[in-house]
Amino acid sequence: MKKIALFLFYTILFIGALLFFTPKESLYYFGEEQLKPLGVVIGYEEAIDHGFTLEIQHAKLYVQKIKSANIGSIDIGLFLLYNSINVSNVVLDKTFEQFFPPLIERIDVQQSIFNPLNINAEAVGDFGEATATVNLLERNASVVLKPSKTMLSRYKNTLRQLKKSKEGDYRYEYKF
Amino acid sequence: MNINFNPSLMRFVRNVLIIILVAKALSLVMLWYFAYEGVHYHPNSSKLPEYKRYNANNIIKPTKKPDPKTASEPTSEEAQELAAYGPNISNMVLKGLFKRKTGGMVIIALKAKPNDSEVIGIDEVYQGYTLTKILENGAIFDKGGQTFSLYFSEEQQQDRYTSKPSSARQQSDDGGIKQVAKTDITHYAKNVKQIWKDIGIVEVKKEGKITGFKVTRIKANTPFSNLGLRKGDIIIKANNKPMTSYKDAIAIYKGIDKLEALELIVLRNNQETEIVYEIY
Repeated sequence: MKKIALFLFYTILFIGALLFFTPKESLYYFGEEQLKPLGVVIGYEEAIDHGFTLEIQHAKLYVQKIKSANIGSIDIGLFLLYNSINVSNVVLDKTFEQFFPPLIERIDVQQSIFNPLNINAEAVGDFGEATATVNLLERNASVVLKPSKTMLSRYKNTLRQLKKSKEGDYRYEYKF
Repeated sequence: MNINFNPSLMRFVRNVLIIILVAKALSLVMLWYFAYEGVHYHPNSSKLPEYKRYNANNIIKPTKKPDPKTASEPTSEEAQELAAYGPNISNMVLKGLFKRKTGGMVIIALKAKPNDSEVIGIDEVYQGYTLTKILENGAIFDKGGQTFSLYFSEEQQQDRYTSKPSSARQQSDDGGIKQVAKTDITHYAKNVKQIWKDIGIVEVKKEGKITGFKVTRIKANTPFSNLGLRKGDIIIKANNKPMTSYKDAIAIYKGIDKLEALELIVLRNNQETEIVYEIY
């Protein structure tokens, strides 16, 4: 029993040490390189390694070389069994103001070892609330949007791009 | 001094240290494998494309319509006025000019080779003559500290005030030059939703890459219906810049209120058609 407890302790210690020493900044840059072929670039950011998590501050997001948003902060936590990316204070570029409410307060993305093939995300902002699921096996993503009053009144054209469900929310599906 | 260490405690500490060292070594391997620095993007390439058009039909155009009663007189007066700057360059011919507040350009050729013309801007040199100033009816050059003038011949002056260039503007259905009010541009720039109500545009992709933007509908009796665009046209270039991404299209949209002219190349029935807009 003592040996099992010791083995568990060593295992947890090894995982903890590995997570602590993992060069999170380099890992983040590696992730950035994977996004580049998709036309997504996060620039002008400041990366801060907090030991077990990585914080990205004051980033600018470019999609297809178009400045798309200013991002207040991104907290990345990679714990093997549970991984999360929490984005807060996203302000869309003025170019998109006509299509979408500019402020997204937070976006929380989670992936767990208990459901490894699905990535779940939630977002809250001036647009309302949205939940999204990405199925890595079937290579599809679905978004369910509960629009705010602002979204319903001022961004009807954008909502027309989505399917309205019987429950009153709007859905969008994408295959990749 | 004799210190007794507990062997099992020592073994535990050693194991912990080994585990931490192995984890650190693995992290160093990761550091070697992953990227050293982030991806940078310098948005200087999003500059608004410049309008570059060197077409004599556009450049030689009526800047002001002379009074028909005195139309025969100004040529010589203007020539005299230009000649006051300095002697005329006798071996060259001025074929056209485009004058702007900030400069402009002239089309020039040697009389011996009238078809071998060149376009030069202010401070550029042609046959040893440096272009220093562009006037309404001619240009001033400098060579070796002496000033020279070059002006249109009497025949050319007559041509300048004929309706030749304006006939180009009447090619309303087949391209040509269009006049667009800045107020319309400003209106649409501020009301993007109105754009989508009045015109439908979708991307055109070939092998996964955007090759242009196709006009899918144009609402009748709107400013868009007078732009010379037709349903089915594929916009492939704007101001000589290929439209191969949304960034290219948005660059035009974001800077349209600063443009003085816009040239579109559209694919119409598989043929390239040029449409030029002068924004006034």
